[in-house]
Amino acid sequence: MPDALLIVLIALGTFALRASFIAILGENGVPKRLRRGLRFVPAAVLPALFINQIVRTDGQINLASPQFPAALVALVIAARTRSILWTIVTGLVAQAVFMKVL
Amino acid sequence: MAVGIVPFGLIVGITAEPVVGSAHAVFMSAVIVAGASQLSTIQLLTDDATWVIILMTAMVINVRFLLYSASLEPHLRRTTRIARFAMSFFLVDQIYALSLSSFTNHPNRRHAAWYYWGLVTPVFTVWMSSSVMGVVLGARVPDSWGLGFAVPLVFIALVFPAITDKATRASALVAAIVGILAFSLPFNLFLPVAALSGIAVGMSVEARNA
Repeated sequence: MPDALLIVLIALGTFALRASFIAILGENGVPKRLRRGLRFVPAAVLPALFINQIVRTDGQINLASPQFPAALVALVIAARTRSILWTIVTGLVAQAVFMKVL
Repeated sequence: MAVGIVPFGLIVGITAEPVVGSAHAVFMSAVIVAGASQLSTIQLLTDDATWVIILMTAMVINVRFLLYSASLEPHLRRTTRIARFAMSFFLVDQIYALSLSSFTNHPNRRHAAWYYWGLVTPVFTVWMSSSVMGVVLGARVPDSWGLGFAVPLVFIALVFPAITDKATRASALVAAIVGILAFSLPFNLFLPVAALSGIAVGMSVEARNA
Protein backbone atom coordinates (compact mmCIF):
# COMPACT_ATOMS: atom_id res chain seq x y z
CA MET A 1 0.00 0.00 0.00
CA PRO A 2 1.35 3.44 -0.85
CA ASP A 3 2.39 5.40 2.24
CA ALA A 4 0.02 8.29 1.44
CA LEU A 5 -3.06 6.06 1.52
CA LEU A 6 -1.97 4.48 4.81
CA ILE A 7 -1.43 7.94 6.30
CA VAL A 8 -4.90 9.06 5.18
CA LEU A 9 -6.50 5.94 6.69
CA ILE A 10 -4.75 6.51 10.02
CA ALA A 11 -5.76 10.17 9.91
CA LEU A 12 -9.42 9.30 9.24
CA GLY A 13 -9.49 6.69 12.00
CA THR A 14 -7.88 9.09 14.46
CA PHE A 15 -10.32 11.84 13.50
CA ALA A 16 -13.24 9.47 14.01
CA LEU A 17 -12.01 8.65 17.52
CA ARG A 18 -11.70 12.35 18.35
CA ALA A 19 -15.07 13.30 16.87
CA SER A 20 -16.83 10.26 18.37
CA PHE A 21 -18.57 11.91 21.31
CA ILE A 22 -17.97 15.60 20.63
CA ALA A 23 -19.55 15.65 17.18
CA ILE A 24 -21.16 12.28 16.44
CA LEU A 25 -22.58 10.33 19.39
CA GLY A 26 -23.33 13.25 21.70
CA GLU A 27 -24.09 12.85 25.35
CA ASN A 28 -24.21 9.08 25.85
CA GLY A 29 -20.73 8.80 27.30
CA VAL A 30 -18.41 5.80 27.22
CA PRO A 31 -19.95 2.60 28.64
CA LYS A 32 -18.42 1.81 32.03
CA ARG A 33 -17.05 -1.59 31.06
CA LEU A 34 -15.25 -0.18 28.01
CA ARG A 35 -13.88 2.66 30.10
CA ARG A 36 -12.41 0.13 32.55
CA GLY A 37 -10.50 -1.60 29.77
CA LEU A 38 -9.44 1.58 28.00
CA ARG A 39 -7.72 2.77 31.17
CA PHE A 40 -5.03 0.13 30.62
CA VAL A 41 -4.36 0.85 26.96
CA PRO A 42 -1.38 3.23 27.32
CA ALA A 43 0.32 1.13 30.03
CA ALA A 44 -0.04 -2.03 27.91
CA VAL A 45 0.66 -0.70 24.41
CA LEU A 46 3.77 1.38 25.03
CA PRO A 47 5.97 -1.42 26.52
CA ALA A 48 4.86 -3.73 23.69
CA LEU A 49 6.05 -1.08 21.23
CA PHE A 50 9.50 -0.42 22.66
CA ILE A 51 10.59 -3.64 24.36
CA ASN A 52 11.83 -5.43 21.23
CA GLN A 53 13.55 -2.28 20.00
CA ILE A 54 15.76 -2.38 23.08
CA VAL A 55 16.39 -6.10 23.65
CA ARG A 56 16.83 -7.15 20.00
CA THR A 57 19.15 -6.28 17.12
CA ASP A 58 17.89 -7.30 13.68
CA GLY A 59 15.27 -9.55 15.29
CA GLN A 60 17.66 -11.46 17.56
CA ILE A 61 17.90 -11.03 21.34
CA ASN A 62 21.06 -8.99 21.96
CA LEU A 63 21.77 -7.42 25.33
CA ALA A 64 25.31 -6.47 24.31
CA SER A 65 24.07 -3.80 21.87
CA PRO A 66 24.64 -0.08 22.62
CA GLN A 67 20.84 0.30 22.71
CA PHE A 68 20.13 -2.01 25.64
CA PRO A 69 22.24 -0.27 28.32
CA ALA A 70 21.25 3.12 26.86
CA ALA A 71 17.59 2.15 27.24
CA LEU A 72 18.19 1.18 30.88
CA VAL A 73 19.66 4.64 31.49
CA ALA A 74 16.66 6.19 29.73
CA LEU A 75 14.22 4.11 31.81
CA VAL A 76 15.75 5.44 35.03
CA ILE A 77 15.70 9.03 33.76
CA ALA A 78 12.13 8.67 32.48
CA ALA A 79 10.97 7.26 35.82
CA ARG A 80 12.64 10.09 37.73
CA THR A 81 11.95 13.12 35.50
CA ARG A 82 8.84 12.05 33.50
CA SER A 83 10.22 14.35 30.82
CA ILE A 84 10.20 13.40 27.14
CA LEU A 85 13.00 15.85 26.42
CA TRP A 86 15.38 14.56 29.12
CA THR A 87 14.64 10.95 28.27
CA ILE A 88 15.48 11.51 24.60
CA VAL A 89 18.60 13.54 25.35
CA THR A 90 20.09 11.15 27.93
CA GLY A 91 19.08 8.08 25.93
CA LEU A 92 20.75 9.35 22.75
CA VAL A 93 23.88 10.49 24.61
CA ALA A 94 24.08 7.12 26.40
CA GLN A 95 23.68 5.32 23.07
CA ALA A 96 26.53 7.39 21.60
CA VAL A 97 28.74 6.59 24.60
CA PHE A 98 27.99 2.84 24.45
CA MET A 99 28.57 2.82 20.68
CA LYS A 100 32.12 4.01 21.41
CA VAL A 101 32.69 1.64 24.34
CA LEU A 102 31.02 -1.61 23.19
CA MET B 1 2.75 24.97 27.63
CA ALA B 2 3.50 24.29 23.99
CA VAL B 3 7.16 23.65 24.82
CA GLY B 4 6.56 19.95 25.52
CA ILE B 5 5.42 19.55 21.91
CA VAL B 6 8.73 20.70 20.44
CA PRO B 7 10.87 17.59 21.11
CA PHE B 8 7.95 15.41 20.01
CA GLY B 9 7.51 17.29 16.74
CA LEU B 10 11.25 17.29 16.06
CA ILE B 11 11.59 13.54 16.63
CA VAL B 12 8.52 12.77 14.51
CA GLY B 13 10.02 14.83 11.67
CA ILE B 14 13.57 13.54 12.03
CA THR B 15 12.57 9.86 12.13
CA ALA B 16 9.83 10.01 9.48
CA GLU B 17 11.92 11.74 6.83
CA PRO B 18 14.26 8.81 5.99
CA VAL B 19 11.35 6.33 6.02
CA VAL B 20 8.58 8.06 4.03
CA GLY B 21 10.33 11.13 2.54
CA SER B 22 9.94 14.84 3.37
CA ALA B 23 6.53 15.47 1.81
CA HIS B 24 4.83 12.50 3.46
CA ALA B 25 6.55 13.24 6.77
CA VAL B 26 5.05 16.76 6.88
CA PHE B 27 1.71 15.45 5.57
CA MET B 28 1.59 12.92 8.43
CA SER B 29 1.98 15.60 11.09
CA ALA B 30 -0.63 17.79 9.40
CA VAL B 31 -3.38 15.18 9.06
CA ILE B 32 -2.79 12.68 11.87
CA VAL B 33 -1.72 15.18 14.56
CA ALA B 34 -0.91 12.43 17.06
CA GLY B 35 2.81 11.96 17.63
CA ALA B 36 2.90 8.59 19.38
CA SER B 37 0.86 6.89 16.66
CA GLN B 38 3.01 8.53 13.99
CA LEU B 39 6.12 7.12 15.66
CA SER B 40 4.61 3.62 15.84
CA THR B 41 3.71 3.92 12.15
CA ILE B 42 7.26 4.93 11.25
CA GLN B 43 8.73 2.11 13.33
CA LEU B 44 6.40 -0.50 11.82
CA LEU B 45 7.01 0.75 8.26
CA THR B 46 10.73 0.24 8.93
CA ASP B 47 9.97 -3.29 10.17
CA ASP B 48 7.95 -4.03 6.98
CA ALA B 49 4.81 -4.75 9.00
CA THR B 50 1.55 -5.25 7.09
CA TRP B 51 -0.79 -2.25 6.81
CA VAL B 52 -3.48 -3.93 8.94
CA ILE B 53 -1.06 -4.15 11.87
CA ILE B 54 0.19 -0.59 11.30
CA LEU B 55 -3.36 0.78 11.17
CA MET B 56 -4.53 -1.29 14.15
CA THR B 57 -1.56 -0.24 16.27
CA ALA B 58 -2.15 3.43 15.49
CA MET B 59 -5.84 3.12 16.40
CA VAL B 60 -5.07 1.35 19.67
CA ILE B 61 -2.59 4.06 20.62
CA ASN B 62 -5.14 6.73 19.73
CA VAL B 63 -8.14 5.11 21.40
CA ARG B 64 -7.53 7.50 24.32
CA PHE B 65 -9.07 10.25 22.14
CA LEU B 66 -12.40 8.46 22.55
CA LEU B 67 -12.20 9.18 26.28
CA TYR B 68 -11.07 12.77 25.68
CA SER B 69 -13.98 13.25 23.30
CA ALA B 70 -16.48 11.90 25.81
CA SER B 71 -15.18 14.07 28.63
CA LEU B 72 -15.07 17.36 26.64
CA GLU B 73 -18.45 16.83 24.94
CA PRO B 74 -20.58 18.44 27.69
CA HIS B 75 -18.50 21.64 27.50
CA LEU B 76 -18.60 22.02 23.72
CA ARG B 77 -22.26 21.05 23.28
CA ARG B 78 -23.42 24.61 22.60
CA THR B 79 -21.58 25.02 19.30
CA THR B 80 -22.68 23.88 15.86
CA ARG B 81 -21.94 20.37 14.68
CA ILE B 82 -19.55 21.58 12.00
CA ALA B 83 -17.61 23.57 14.60
CA ARG B 84 -17.50 20.48 16.82
CA PHE B 85 -16.09 18.40 13.96
CA ALA B 86 -13.45 21.07 13.36
CA MET B 87 -12.56 21.20 17.05
CA SER B 88 -12.32 17.39 17.21
CA PHE B 89 -9.61 17.36 14.57
CA PHE B 90 -7.23 19.21 16.93
CA LEU B 91 -8.02 17.25 20.09
CA VAL B 92 -4.44 16.35 21.07
CA ASP B 93 -3.23 15.49 24.58
CA GLN B 94 -2.14 19.03 25.49
CA ILE B 95 -5.35 20.64 24.23
CA TYR B 96 -7.40 18.11 26.15
CA ALA B 97 -5.55 18.59 29.43
CA LEU B 98 -5.55 22.39 29.25
CA SER B 99 -9.10 22.86 28.04
CA LEU B 100 -10.59 20.36 30.48
CA SER B 101 -8.96 22.01 33.48
CA SER B 102 -10.15 25.42 32.32
CA PHE B 103 -13.72 24.23 31.54
CA THR B 104 -13.90 22.57 34.95
CA ASN B 105 -12.65 25.64 36.82
CA HIS B 106 -14.61 28.20 34.81
CA PRO B 107 -17.83 26.66 33.60
CA ASN B 108 -18.50 29.70 31.42
CA ARG B 109 -19.80 27.73 28.48
CA ARG B 110 -20.48 30.70 26.23
CA HIS B 111 -16.77 31.17 25.64
CA ALA B 112 -15.68 27.53 25.72
CA ALA B 113 -15.25 27.28 21.95
CA TRP B 114 -13.20 30.47 21.76
CA TYR B 115 -11.00 29.30 24.59
CA TYR B 116 -10.51 26.02 22.77
CA TRP B 117 -9.44 27.73 19.54
CA GLY B 118 -7.15 29.96 21.55
CA LEU B 119 -5.31 26.83 22.66
CA VAL B 120 -5.35 25.14 19.26
CA THR B 121 -3.69 28.05 17.47
CA PRO B 122 -0.34 28.07 19.33
CA VAL B 123 -0.25 24.30 19.92
CA PHE B 124 -0.85 23.39 16.28
CA THR B 125 1.54 26.10 15.05
CA VAL B 126 4.33 24.85 17.31
CA TRP B 127 3.55 21.25 16.37
CA MET B 128 3.77 21.89 12.62
CA SER B 129 6.87 24.10 12.80
CA SER B 130 8.77 21.61 14.96
CA SER B 131 7.72 18.76 12.66
CA VAL B 132 8.95 20.67 9.60
CA MET B 133 12.16 21.54 11.43
CA GLY B 134 12.60 17.85 12.25
CA VAL B 135 12.09 16.88 8.60
CA VAL B 136 14.73 19.39 7.52
CA LEU B 137 17.13 18.08 10.19
CA GLY B 138 16.27 14.46 9.37
CA ALA B 139 17.51 14.95 5.84
CA ARG B 140 20.84 16.29 7.13
CA VAL B 141 21.65 14.10 10.12
CA PRO B 142 23.80 11.07 9.16
CA ASP B 143 22.41 7.60 9.97
CA SER B 144 25.47 6.87 12.11
CA TRP B 145 24.10 9.19 14.83
CA GLY B 146 21.44 6.57 15.51
CA LEU B 147 18.56 9.05 15.89
CA GLY B 148 16.08 6.28 15.07
CA PHE B 149 16.62 5.20 18.68
CA ALA B 150 14.64 8.29 19.69
CA VAL B 151 11.43 6.41 18.76
CA PRO B 152 11.63 3.80 21.56
CA LEU B 153 12.95 6.55 23.86
CA VAL B 154 9.74 8.53 23.42
CA PHE B 155 7.67 5.44 24.22
CA ILE B 156 9.83 4.89 27.33
CA ALA B 157 9.16 8.47 28.42
CA LEU B 158 5.41 8.11 27.86
CA VAL B 159 4.97 4.84 29.74
CA PHE B 160 5.72 6.15 33.25
CA PRO B 161 2.91 8.71 33.40
CA ALA B 162 0.60 5.85 32.31
CA ILE B 163 1.66 3.70 35.29
CA THR B 164 -0.36 5.09 38.18
CA ASP B 165 -1.08 2.07 40.40
CA LYS B 166 -0.49 -1.65 40.94
CA ALA B 167 -2.88 -2.69 38.16
CA THR B 168 -1.34 -0.46 35.47
CA ARG B 169 2.16 -1.56 36.56
CA ALA B 170 1.16 -5.23 36.16
CA SER B 171 -0.34 -4.36 32.79
CA ALA B 172 2.92 -2.78 31.57
CA LEU B 173 5.16 -5.61 32.83
CA VAL B 174 3.01 -8.33 31.29
CA ALA B 175 2.85 -6.48 27.96
CA ALA B 176 6.66 -6.19 27.90
CA ILE B 177 7.23 -9.88 28.72
CA VAL B 178 4.60 -11.16 26.27
CA GLY B 179 6.02 -8.73 23.69
CA ILE B 180 9.42 -10.43 23.90
CA LEU B 181 8.03 -13.99 23.98
CA ALA B 182 5.53 -13.52 21.13
CA PHE B 183 7.94 -11.60 18.88
CA SER B 184 8.29 -14.36 16.29
CA LEU B 185 4.55 -14.41 15.47
CA PRO B 186 3.92 -13.44 11.83
CA PHE B 187 2.79 -9.93 10.74
CA ASN B 188 4.04 -8.28 13.99
CA LEU B 189 1.08 -9.89 15.75
CA PHE B 190 3.10 -9.75 18.96
CA LEU B 191 1.90 -6.14 19.31
CA PRO B 192 -1.85 -6.78 19.69
CA VAL B 193 -1.17 -10.04 21.58
CA ALA B 194 1.10 -8.29 24.09
CA ALA B 195 -1.19 -5.26 24.48
CA LEU B 196 -4.32 -7.40 25.00
CA SER B 197 -2.51 -9.62 27.54
CA GLY B 198 -1.42 -6.50 29.41
CA ILE B 199 -4.95 -5.07 29.42
CA ALA B 200 -6.46 -8.41 30.57
CA VAL B 201 -3.97 -8.77 33.43
CA GLY B 202 -4.41 -5.14 34.46
CA MET B 203 -8.19 -5.55 34.60
CA SER B 204 -7.97 -8.75 36.64
CA VAL B 205 -5.48 -7.23 39.11
CA GLU B 206 -7.83 -4.29 39.51
CA ALA B 207 -10.84 -6.59 40.01
CA ARG B 208 -8.99 -8.58 42.67
CA ASN B 209 -8.01 -5.43 44.59
CA ALA B 210 -11.41 -3.82 44.37
